[in-house]
Amino acid sequence: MSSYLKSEFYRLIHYKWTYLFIGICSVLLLSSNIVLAVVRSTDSSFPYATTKFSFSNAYNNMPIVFILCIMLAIMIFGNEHNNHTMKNCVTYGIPRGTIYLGKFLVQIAYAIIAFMIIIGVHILSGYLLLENSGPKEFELLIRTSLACLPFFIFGLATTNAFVFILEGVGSAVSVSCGIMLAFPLICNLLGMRFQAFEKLGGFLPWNIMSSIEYNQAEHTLHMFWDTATGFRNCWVFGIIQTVLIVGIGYLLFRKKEIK
Amino acid sequence: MQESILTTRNLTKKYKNIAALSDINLELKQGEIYGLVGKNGAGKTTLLRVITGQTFATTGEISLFGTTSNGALNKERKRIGAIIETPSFYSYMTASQNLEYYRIQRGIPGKYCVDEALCEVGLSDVGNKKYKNFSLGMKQRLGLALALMNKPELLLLDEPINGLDPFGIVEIRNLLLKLSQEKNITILISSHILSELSNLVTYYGFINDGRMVKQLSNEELSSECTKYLELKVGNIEKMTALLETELGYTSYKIKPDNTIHIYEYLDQPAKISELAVRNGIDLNSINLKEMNLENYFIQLVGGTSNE
Repeated sequence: MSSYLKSEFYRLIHYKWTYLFIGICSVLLLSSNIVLAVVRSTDSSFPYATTKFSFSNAYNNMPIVFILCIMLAIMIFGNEHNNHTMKNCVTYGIPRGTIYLGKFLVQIAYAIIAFMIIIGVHILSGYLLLENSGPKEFELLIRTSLACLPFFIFGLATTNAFVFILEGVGSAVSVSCGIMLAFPLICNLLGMRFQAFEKLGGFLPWNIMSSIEYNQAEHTLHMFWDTATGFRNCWVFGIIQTVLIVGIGYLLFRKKEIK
Repeated sequence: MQESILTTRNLTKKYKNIAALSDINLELKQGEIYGLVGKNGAGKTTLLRVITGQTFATTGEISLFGTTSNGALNKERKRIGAIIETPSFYSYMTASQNLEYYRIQRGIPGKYCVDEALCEVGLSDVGNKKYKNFSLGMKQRLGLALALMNKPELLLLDEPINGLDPFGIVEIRNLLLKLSQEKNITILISSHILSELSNLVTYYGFINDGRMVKQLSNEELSSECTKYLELKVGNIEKMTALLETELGYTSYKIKPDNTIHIYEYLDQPAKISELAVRNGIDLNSINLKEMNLENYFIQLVGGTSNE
């Protein structure tokens, strides 16, 4: 496994999109802070050029990061079937489990590094360019990121599984979107009539991440991961669903014909 | 006695109800160069894919270097080098980067083996050219370099000279011969360029519609591919009568295209032409012919070749 992981990192180092993905995302977040700073420089009464506003934008939009996980998995590994490179590994007797888990682990490692860099750029530029609103928003951003991390891993696992099982990138993206985004929404709709679906929907990453509520009276945000139990549940739900999807993906890939 | 490197017993591969391979039995001994001959869709690539673990046999058994269990087969596959169908690499990396990727993955020590493999197939001067800009011949050479990089004991090559120019074909043929002779590497090669196989192969397997139709050694094939004199004359009946009475020939056949095939005294065409002239028979042509691999194959599988 370690040789396989090393080789995958070697490949990533020589892939331009490894850098472009991080670069593009960082620039987008950086530019949002720059825009806020520029607007404030022209209008001193502009109230949103603060780290509070900037960081809350980030932690309120974790579902976008969830969707980006599909892109990231496709970007790193989506062309494996088109390139037919997997056959070189199988022919040499590298176990399918090593290939399947190896790609997944590399994706997790890359995703964490990419996320740290992108969010790091956002935080740093926020502090450098905007008015400091105190440590609370920073802490909330870090807590939200950590709570959502298992869901991002679930997103990678789902896309990875379907890229392995299905040969077309388009089909893999469609099925992944179906499971990660459409299924929770269907559960919500059915949950209005059937309690079982309501309960099931409550376990799904998309619903949990989208459940941030604003309390008008107290001017506070309510998040699933506010409490220690909520935070722990994020990890428990994320890990269980990741293990399930990784297991299903592996069982189906084990007997798949490699072309 | 030579060690058996690869054996398949009653290997069958079905896609739904269609059999791509039916009861394939073959045995490769150490140092042999085994030529797999078959039309497109005959099952050559499927057989190689089953052997390399890209797909699974429906029934039957594979033995690689004496082992048959699935886990052990994967270990033994590390002793194989293979090109199955077209060579496949990452388009955004150079030749040496692609090989380095697989060197790391396979845990092969020493970076020098990348340069060595590239040099062996004549790709040492491609520099920083990306794989996506390679010609078909260069891709084929890189595929061969990958197959050779781990110093394999068994090479499985599926149409390895596809896309190579005539010089490339000779180079690769010589390389394979060298590997077989100097390093005693066993080679299983499928090719649709049958004339190339005849310069290389020591044992043949003819496959058709997923079935192994015939297996025979190069010597056996040579004896089956007999030489004969092809005679085209104006009066066949008179000529055959004269061949029997005057020259005592008995081993001949009259073919539907009005030619006579003589299978004996092949060194006496002058005697035959003199006989024809002396007896006033129009002699259109007299040629020494030989049944080659292509004709043999077509005769064996029936119909016309679509290779």
